[in-house]
Amino acid sequence: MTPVAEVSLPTSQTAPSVSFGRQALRRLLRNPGACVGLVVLTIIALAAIFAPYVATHDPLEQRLPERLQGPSPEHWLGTDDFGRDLFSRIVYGARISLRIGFTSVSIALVVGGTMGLVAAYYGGWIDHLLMRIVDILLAIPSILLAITIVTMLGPGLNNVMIAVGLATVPSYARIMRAAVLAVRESDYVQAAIAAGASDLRVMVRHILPNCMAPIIVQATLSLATAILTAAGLSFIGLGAQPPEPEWGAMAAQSRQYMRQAHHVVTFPGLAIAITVLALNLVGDGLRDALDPRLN
Amino acid sequence: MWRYVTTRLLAVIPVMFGVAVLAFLMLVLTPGDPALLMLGERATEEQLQTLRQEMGLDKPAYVQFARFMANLVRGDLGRSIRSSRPVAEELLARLPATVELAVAAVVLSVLLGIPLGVISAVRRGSLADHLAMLFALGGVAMPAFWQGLMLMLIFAVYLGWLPPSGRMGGLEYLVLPAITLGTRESALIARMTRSSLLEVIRQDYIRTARAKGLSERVVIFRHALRNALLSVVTVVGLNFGSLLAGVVVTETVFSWPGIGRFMVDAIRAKDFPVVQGAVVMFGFLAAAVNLLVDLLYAVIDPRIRAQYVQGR
Amino acid sequence: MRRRLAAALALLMLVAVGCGNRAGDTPADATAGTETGESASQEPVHIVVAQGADAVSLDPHKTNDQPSSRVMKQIYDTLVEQTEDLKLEPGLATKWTQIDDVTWEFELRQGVKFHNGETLTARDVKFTFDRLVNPETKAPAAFLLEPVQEVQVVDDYKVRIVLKYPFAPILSHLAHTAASILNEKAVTEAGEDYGSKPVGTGPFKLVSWTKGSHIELERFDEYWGGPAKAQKLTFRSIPEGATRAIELETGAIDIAYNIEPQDYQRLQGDPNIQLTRDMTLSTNYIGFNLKKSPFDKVEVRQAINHAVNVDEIIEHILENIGQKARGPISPLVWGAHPDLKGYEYNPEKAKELLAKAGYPNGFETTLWTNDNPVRVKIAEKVQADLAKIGVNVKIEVVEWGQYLEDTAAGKHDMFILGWVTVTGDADYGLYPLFHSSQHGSPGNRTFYTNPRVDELLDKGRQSSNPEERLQAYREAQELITADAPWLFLNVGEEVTGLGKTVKGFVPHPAGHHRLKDVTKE
Repeated sequence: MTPVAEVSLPTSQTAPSVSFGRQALRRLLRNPGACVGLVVLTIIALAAIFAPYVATHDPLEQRLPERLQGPSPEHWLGTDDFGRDLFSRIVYGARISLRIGFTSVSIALVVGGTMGLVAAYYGGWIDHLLMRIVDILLAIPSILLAITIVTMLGPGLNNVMIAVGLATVPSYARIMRAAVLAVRESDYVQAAIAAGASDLRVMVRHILPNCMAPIIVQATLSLATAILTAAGLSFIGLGAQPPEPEWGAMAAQSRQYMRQAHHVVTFPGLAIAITVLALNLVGDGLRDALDPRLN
Repeated sequence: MWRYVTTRLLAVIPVMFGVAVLAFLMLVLTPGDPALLMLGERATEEQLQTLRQEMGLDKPAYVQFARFMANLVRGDLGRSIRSSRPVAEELLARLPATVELAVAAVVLSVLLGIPLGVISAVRRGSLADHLAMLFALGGVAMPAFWQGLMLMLIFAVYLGWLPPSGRMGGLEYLVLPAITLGTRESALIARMTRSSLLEVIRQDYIRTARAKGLSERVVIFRHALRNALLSVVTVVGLNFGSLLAGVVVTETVFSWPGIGRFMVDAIRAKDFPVVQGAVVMFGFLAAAVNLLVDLLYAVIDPRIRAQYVQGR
Repeated sequence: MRRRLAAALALLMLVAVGCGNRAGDTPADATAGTETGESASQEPVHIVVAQGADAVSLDPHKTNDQPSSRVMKQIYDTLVEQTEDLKLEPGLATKWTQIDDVTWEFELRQGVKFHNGETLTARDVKFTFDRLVNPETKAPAAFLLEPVQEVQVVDDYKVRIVLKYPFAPILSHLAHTAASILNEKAVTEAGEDYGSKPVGTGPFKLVSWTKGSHIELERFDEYWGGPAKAQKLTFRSIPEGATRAIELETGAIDIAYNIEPQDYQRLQGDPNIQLTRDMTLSTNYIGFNLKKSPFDKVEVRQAINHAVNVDEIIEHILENIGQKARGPISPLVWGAHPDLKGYEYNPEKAKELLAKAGYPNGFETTLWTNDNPVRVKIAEKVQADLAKIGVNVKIEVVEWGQYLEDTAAGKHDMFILGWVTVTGDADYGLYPLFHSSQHGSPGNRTFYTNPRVDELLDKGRQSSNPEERLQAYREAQELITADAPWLFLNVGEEVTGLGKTVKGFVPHPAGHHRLKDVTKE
């Protein structure tokens, strides 16, 4: 489900220099796709943050007699089956989608990252045990994990975030482990250990900062997947509950009106597609920027 | 080789165990009384008690789990709440539809994805490359249910070329669902083919081949693509899970009578034995495909085979 | 390699094009067939019906859901037949007599054949009813024959049904699809598989069942009532309403059940489609929990009835499919009160009533619904209307299992539910819902208690005098409407879509339409 970021670490032998980050940024900005993605994402993020100012209507206000109208100067993207303003709902929906993305990725990052870090750092039976668990979890399709978790916890956005997050834990654990393994034997980590730094300090201060490249790429890409998965869960009725303006739920709940007013399905779907596209563009750009070999 | 096969086969066991644990937890942790769900609102307390005993719901969780596992090994997935038919039977009746759809989607995505990837790698930076990569980006970004609805609207409703839903026999019913399900996969394959081709092209043996004066076509197809195929196989394998996610959604959109739609219906009707069974079935399918991919891997890449022959 | 790839791609395209043609040809063929008239009548008639879900089981004792009933209605017969205008007519029984208060005797039709060649006898009837009530069968519809004490075989063609207590609506209960007559031999032979190998006496027999997709039936030529008009009948399961409408428009199906409100208007303008609108036996309502404050006060309940603009719900959410409910049962049900006034939309009056009950500033409460999209929409509208009189409603979408459990236990404030009076008799529509002996899971989830209503409902159930029954039910409905244990929403209406050439479809208000006389011209 989650495309695994394939990043080989740039400088595993020596401590990375600040200039690497700057170089990477420069490379990122030279990538036209990534720039477009960044601009789009910025717009979406701003719309989400300033939703009350951007939206032209109350996203929950029903005006039944005005339902299912096409785009007009009054309703830029038309109205839905309750006569609610679609543009305003999509703007508020950006908040929800970004929240889903960030929350679930954070869950996956914290849990999976810690697992991978601990496994690689300590090695031995801990590594073996954790990685067997990860192997098993990785072999179970994450949508099944998510559906099972939501069925257990009950439908709703919060549970979807937890489910999507937990379902992607194993891939983070793997990536983190690979990254840590590459850094662990490097001179500066060995030096820190020799100097008597505590395990925690070595992990947090010396190893983690140098493993961030693949994790950042993976996180960007899985933000996209998280939003898509949540939309899919909403579509089958397990995700956002009415009247929450989550994009997937909006498209799903209005789909019976597709024939007479296709905009109620088209626009929320486009919102998802554009956001995911932008995230993927930025993710790809980051990967290329952090992996100089391809350029 | 046999050693490798055996190792891989054994590795399936813990995975299936994990799936089973997951499925079991679902029933135990879900609120609501399964007995009441099965008998409906007019059930008497006496009937409920009998059914609870029959299902072992009055026993502690570990006894229930042992029972669940024992039944599972025998292929008994319990009975559907709605139809009171064995779940295994209901699922098997719908399995062919799901397999048909999944296979069609994978075939389609390979037939579309590899050529796109090759073209864009060989003509890197050309218009064709940009178009192919645009498709690849869009294909991954579109939510499957939305794409399905749009395809239905265009090809079934406005153009009337294809039937809008169902599986009444005939290939025409398969076209729209297979495209919906295969798009994401073909986009991923196109990207993976392109990037691994590009990577392989840089490597020494390709440089050598070129230096030897072999034609570009021979270099690409005989040497580079063959190696790139490895990553394609990986993509197909790794993404089978997300293909299953697509199955659930696609079957719902197109009323395709497979396991995915059956599972969604069961979730809505709170028919938990069926949901459980479907999770187990999907888990099993995924494990089987992963196994197949790993074996295919060994066939394509002699290095992997060698590792196991030497006993590592 | 490239050449092979190219070949494969070309093949794929051919397949795609071929498919396009094939699908495109079908409607054209269909029109050609109708134009030639003469030759069309010789073609075997094949009717394709679409409904929202696949049948669950074709064993009437294993399920009690509408999609299954609709198929079983074609396969089986009942002793008593309930016609489309809800009259009781002879079915497999040609005649019945009430011997005393609790004993009924039925004379069976002779020479009736089951699909497996067996002949119907009184033993099949006894076997069927014994199996239905046997707790081991776990039949969801066993309650239908709850009043039955014993079924006796008098001779090959005579059965007696002995009741535990006088029960006037027994005949309409016997007309329910769940009381269809089975063949003992077929059931015993098929064992566990009977649900997918049904054998009845009906006008159609099962050919094949592709689970989740469609069920094929074929005409049973030895049907006692003369052969059906169509040779083949296919029931397709198409869950999405919009897709059912599309399939009807493209001509892939002939009959689409439950056309949804949003598709109604568009289909209305289509010259190739006929639409029928028919009242059903269902009522939708929001129940209050009378055990809980503030719903123990009748003024509060009446206030809510006045505060919600039900007309707007019907106009904008139901798109005018359905009518405002003025009392607890649909006007089609036998015993329905024709002159109830119901509650008019009047927020001022609602505020006054609230103040009188001691809640001048309203209160906070919750409204439960399951995830049915129309119900959720109604809940959202009710929430908006009640906010105007100061009642703040929180909507909770509750899972069905939990819903049943918790409403039975009285944990709720308000809940949306519907009820179908399948038998078409007021007893079925009132007794389980309003009699105080039925509190909780048997059906009275509002915990409504009114001794006079109890008395009237008992009388209606036991009296064999129709006039007396009618009187009792009228008074009961007046009392119930005034006591307002429900917010009365709407009585149902069903829209069925038919292809232009379909003839002979008569809808049944209980929703399971008999298709014996349906044909295409």
